[in-house]
Amino acid sequence: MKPRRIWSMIKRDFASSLRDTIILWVLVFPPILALLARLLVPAVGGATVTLVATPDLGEALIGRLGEYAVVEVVADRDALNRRVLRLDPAVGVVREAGAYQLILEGNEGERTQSIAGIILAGAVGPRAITIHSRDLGRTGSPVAGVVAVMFAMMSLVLAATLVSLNIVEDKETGSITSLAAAPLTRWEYLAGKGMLGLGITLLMVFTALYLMGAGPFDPAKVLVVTLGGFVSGALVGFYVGAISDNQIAAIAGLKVGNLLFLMVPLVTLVLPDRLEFILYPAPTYWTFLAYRGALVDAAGWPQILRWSGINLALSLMLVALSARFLGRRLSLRG
Amino acid sequence: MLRRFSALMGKDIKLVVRHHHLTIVVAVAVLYALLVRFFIPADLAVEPNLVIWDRATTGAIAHWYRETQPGRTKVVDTETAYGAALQDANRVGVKVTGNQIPEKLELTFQGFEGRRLRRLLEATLSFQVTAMLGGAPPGFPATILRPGEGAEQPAFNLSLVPVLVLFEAAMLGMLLSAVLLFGEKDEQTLRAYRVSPGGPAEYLLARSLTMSILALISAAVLTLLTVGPATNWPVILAVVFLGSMTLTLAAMVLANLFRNLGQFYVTYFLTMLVLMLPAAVYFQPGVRLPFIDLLPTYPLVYALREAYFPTGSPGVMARAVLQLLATLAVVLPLAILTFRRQLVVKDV
Repeated sequence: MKPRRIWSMIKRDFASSLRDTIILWVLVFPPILALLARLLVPAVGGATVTLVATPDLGEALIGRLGEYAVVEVVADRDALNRRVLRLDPAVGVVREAGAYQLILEGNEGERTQSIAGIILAGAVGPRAITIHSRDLGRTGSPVAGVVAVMFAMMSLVLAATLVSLNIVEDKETGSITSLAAAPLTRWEYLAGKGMLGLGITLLMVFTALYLMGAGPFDPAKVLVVTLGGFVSGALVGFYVGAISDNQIAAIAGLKVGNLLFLMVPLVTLVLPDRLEFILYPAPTYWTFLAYRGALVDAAGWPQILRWSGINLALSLMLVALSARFLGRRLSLRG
Repeated sequence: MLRRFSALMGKDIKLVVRHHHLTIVVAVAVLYALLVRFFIPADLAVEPNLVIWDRATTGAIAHWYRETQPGRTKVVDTETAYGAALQDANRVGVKVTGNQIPEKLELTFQGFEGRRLRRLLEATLSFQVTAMLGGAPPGFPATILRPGEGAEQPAFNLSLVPVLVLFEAAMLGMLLSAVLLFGEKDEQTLRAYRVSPGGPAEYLLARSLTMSILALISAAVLTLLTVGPATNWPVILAVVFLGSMTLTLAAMVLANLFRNLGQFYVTYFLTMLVLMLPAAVYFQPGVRLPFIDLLPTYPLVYALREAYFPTGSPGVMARAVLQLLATLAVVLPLAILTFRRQLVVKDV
């Protein structure tokens, strides 16, 4: 493999991506992702229940309720009823004949009703016991961390998708056959595609993480995890590119490939610990652990290197197993 | 016109089947069903776990929590164990001091918890301690606006089904319809279509109808294998059908703004993320996001929940149908407009 030829491939694909404004969209993607994360994470982290009140409840009590939950103040009782009847669970608080009452639609979960009752009790009644609070000073919430991890993994998927679509486009336009006339091997061709994909991944991962305020994290650790994770991501892209002769077929392949890629981390979040061994053979399980270690748990280098190492070893094993197939299907002679 | 329409649909169905999309749709639905049935737990706690260090002589609070909330509580008896237990970021510490009766609680938060969550936990503990010490915590009468069957609380794994049906079935046509469009553009089929008697509306409706049939198949497989055959099929199928038609046409509006699939894909990905935001509200009822109820997926997910786990609020489903029809009334002309522009102005 000659680096100069790989560099030429990268330049060619980069120029093509610039022409198609794909790079522009890739640059736009992380800020929007970060915006979504900033919108979602505080909302999830601070979510208790939505209360609805009318002004006659009194400014002081509304203020106290607002310390516990989002309080929407509506004009009158009719408006309160209408708000409670809307799709999302919201509980009305009214005072009638000097007594407080909760207004429910009737389909709220037991938890919503119970929380509303506790909040009202907390806002109107004295405490049964003295309570003081302190905190350990941690700033990175697990929710924000998990969102950051999932966004990083989505960036891997998106880059893999762009790599595969790029290969399929070469097939459709016949460029892949034209390249056969150039002094370029199929592995140089794939390396070129992969390097551009890696560049896109790194750009998206770091921009999204910094803009969404993830962290604090060690960029070197995230870099190592991303490099390891990209191998399995790229493999999905190459596979889909190899088996698909057109974009319609590519999307079918990507549906399965991306699902398998993202399903493992999602399942890891909810799978009981005792069953996690089922996921050990999946490289993305280790990518997820390594990202979570780097972005949420402040794991040390030995752990990060261990997880990334296992991930890389499993991915390379898959690459070795696939090499013949990929070589055959991605022959530059089309 | 009907013949043209069915020919267009037949072409789309052939393309979808030939490229194994039908097989993949069924396989993915089966995969999701297996996950729901066998891997995702039925019970998943999202609240922080408590670490109780009860230094009052009776140890009543520790005992009470150990008995009533064993899965959520870890009881420790030394400062070292307390500190070690709080290394887990999903835990909140409760140190109890007092003599015969508990007199003071010191809560140790991690630091990232929101102000409201902290206050709620304090109120909850105060409420629970009052009950535990034999007092009567304040109770409030509730007025139910729609007395009915009451909320049926599904297991956590089954509660995912409406979101999976939304994501996998209703949103299925968004990408595929665009891919077919770009494919036809590349193969000059659209150029040929321009000089045929078929109009944009027939083309778009045939495409979205094909996608809706796929969506129905996906929803049916997923539903059968998860919640079983005894469910509100008419509503599920109607909502998925309408949702799929609407979202497919919305995707066609977007797709017509781009030259190729590569350009479209990033926008599609972001659109999909935005359209999935109602899932966050679905799982965390206190989440408030601006303008979320304008998204067509917002009433859709609630209507699906009502169909799968009825709570006696049929209005939810009617509202979803109305909002989807209203959105459809906006996106269909827009899709026609952008498609016509694609055909004529951009000279595909």
